[in-house]
Amino acid sequence: MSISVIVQAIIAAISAAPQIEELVVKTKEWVTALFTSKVITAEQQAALHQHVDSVAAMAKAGMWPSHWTIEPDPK
Amino acid sequence: MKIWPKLSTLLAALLLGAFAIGIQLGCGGCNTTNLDPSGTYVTGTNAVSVATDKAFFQIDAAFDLAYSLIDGAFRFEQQNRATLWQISPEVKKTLDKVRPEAQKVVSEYTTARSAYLAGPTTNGLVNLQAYLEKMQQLSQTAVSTLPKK
Repeated sequence: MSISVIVQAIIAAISAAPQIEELVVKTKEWVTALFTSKVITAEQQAALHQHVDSVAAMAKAGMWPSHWTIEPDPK
Repeated sequence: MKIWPKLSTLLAALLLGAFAIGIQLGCGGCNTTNLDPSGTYVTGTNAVSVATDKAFFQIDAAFDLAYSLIDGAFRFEQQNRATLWQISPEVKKTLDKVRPEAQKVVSEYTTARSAYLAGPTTNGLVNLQAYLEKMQQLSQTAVSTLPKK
């Protein structure tokens, strides 16, 4: 079985359950682009660059989301 | 238990993300994939051609995926904390060790990335890759900490 067939099977499996939408969609877009296109488009490049830029801005500002911080243990 | 369908979905997504990261740097699939030269990842232009920066693109993409894996694991633990705590307090305790480390590595990558964007060099790429490897190690720890069904 080729790698692309394996990836397509995983994509099909996770597409059936939309709970973790952002991560799934982003990962799916990337893998699909990697295996099915010959060119990473300017739009795809810009989307990646902007997302890493937003992470960088957050890190520079020290503005971490709450799930990145240590919170009290449950009682 | 309601947590398992969500966890199964997350793990499937994390598996796919980890798989994508793995193939990116080994890059079996992307050797034949090129960057549109009108895109963001270019090192320079002249009157004849545009040089795309595929190496930087691959490192940035792999970092973004590692970040997303860690972010997904942290978020999932926070959203299901009470249930996961009942299953094993070690999940939160382990992720609480990863959290400050991940913040540190993201900050280091960010600094190295700013320097590379200001002046792309081979050493700059080496620095970025070193921080990427740390980020990937942390993402593997975070993902492996989540309980398996």
